[in-house]
Amino acid sequence: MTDKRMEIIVGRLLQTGVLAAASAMLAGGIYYLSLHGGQTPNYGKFHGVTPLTGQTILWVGVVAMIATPVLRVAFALVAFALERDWLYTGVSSIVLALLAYSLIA
Amino acid sequence: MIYHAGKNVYMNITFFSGFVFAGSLVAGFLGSLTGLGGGVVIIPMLTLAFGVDLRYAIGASLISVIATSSGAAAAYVREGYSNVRIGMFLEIATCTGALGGAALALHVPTSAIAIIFGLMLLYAAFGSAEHKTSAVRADSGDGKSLGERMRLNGSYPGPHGRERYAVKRAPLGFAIMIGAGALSGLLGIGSGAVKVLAMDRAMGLPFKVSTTTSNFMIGVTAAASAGVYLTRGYIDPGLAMPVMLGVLGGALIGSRFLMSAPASLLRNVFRVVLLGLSAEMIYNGWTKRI
Repeated sequence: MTDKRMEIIVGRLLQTGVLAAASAMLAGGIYYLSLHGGQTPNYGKFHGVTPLTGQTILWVGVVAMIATPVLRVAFALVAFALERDWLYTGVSSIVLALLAYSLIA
Repeated sequence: MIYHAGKNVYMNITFFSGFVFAGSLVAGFLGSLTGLGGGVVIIPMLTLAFGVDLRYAIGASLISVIATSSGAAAAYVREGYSNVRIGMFLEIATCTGALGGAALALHVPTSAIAIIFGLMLLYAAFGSAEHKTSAVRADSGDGKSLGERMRLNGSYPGPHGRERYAVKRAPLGFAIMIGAGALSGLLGIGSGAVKVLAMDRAMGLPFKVSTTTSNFMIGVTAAASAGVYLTRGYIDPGLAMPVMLGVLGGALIGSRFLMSAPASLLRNVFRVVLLGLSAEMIYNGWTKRI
């Protein structure tokens, strides 16, 4: 595994992630609007977590989008380990730990 | 201001999503064409024109920031300008800052966040006006500086083959990156301008390396903030959908026009827009309307 090869795979990973998230958003959006399109939007007041009603596919899109950069860091961690670059395996694991912490904090 | 918070004119979700999509498309297009990013326009647009709560606007903006950053980075990494090691090293700083900024945002009143946002728009309009790389004194070169110990030096494709560059003042760059991350977490933007400032001005990196590596880092930083906001209900998928698809589509179209458009004229028009939005955000924050 060289740095160049790693960058090419990272590029493809990012592209796939964006494409998957955007497709889920588009498909979910059409489904969501067909169910709820006639209702009045209510974003003017903050009401916390929105219940899962016809939005499940949209959630897949949101989660896929957030997961894409996280996967990129996870992949870099493995790639640096394969290069036996322990310094950057360590740096990547710190970044990954910070990202994991953001989800559970 | 068409639909102000609290005074919601009747409008169904399909029309609402359509208008938000169209607005986001324009924001993404202008953001990519001027290089100033779409996030800075999305949040004022959603809060001022559509009456969306600032917290939902921040959540939706973050998702679109991750999308454009990842989409653009996919193209940049193949060109070989971005530096993976510099990016990963500085992501420790931006993610730490983002976690702090997002945690702070949960406790600060939205009116205060709106005022900080307005000040940031002022900086985006004028602070990033000039792009001259300052002459930075090189580090001693004895292998003891942070940049050398972290092996941050790299090379990029120049006109006469690959040109090498050395990283200077890595601790200063790292410190500025904590600030960039905090701003991103607090306001839901990519804060690319501050990231470029850290790499271009503080660390003395070539401009193209700074901008592409910054873009590479924006997605990871925004993901750290989004993680915090996701579990607090800031991210509504019904709103994130038209925003993300619009900004992404606009950025895609913008990248095709990049070469042919009169960039300096556009940038000046965009500056005037940012100035107006800045005044609106500060006014609405000050009078507690946001």
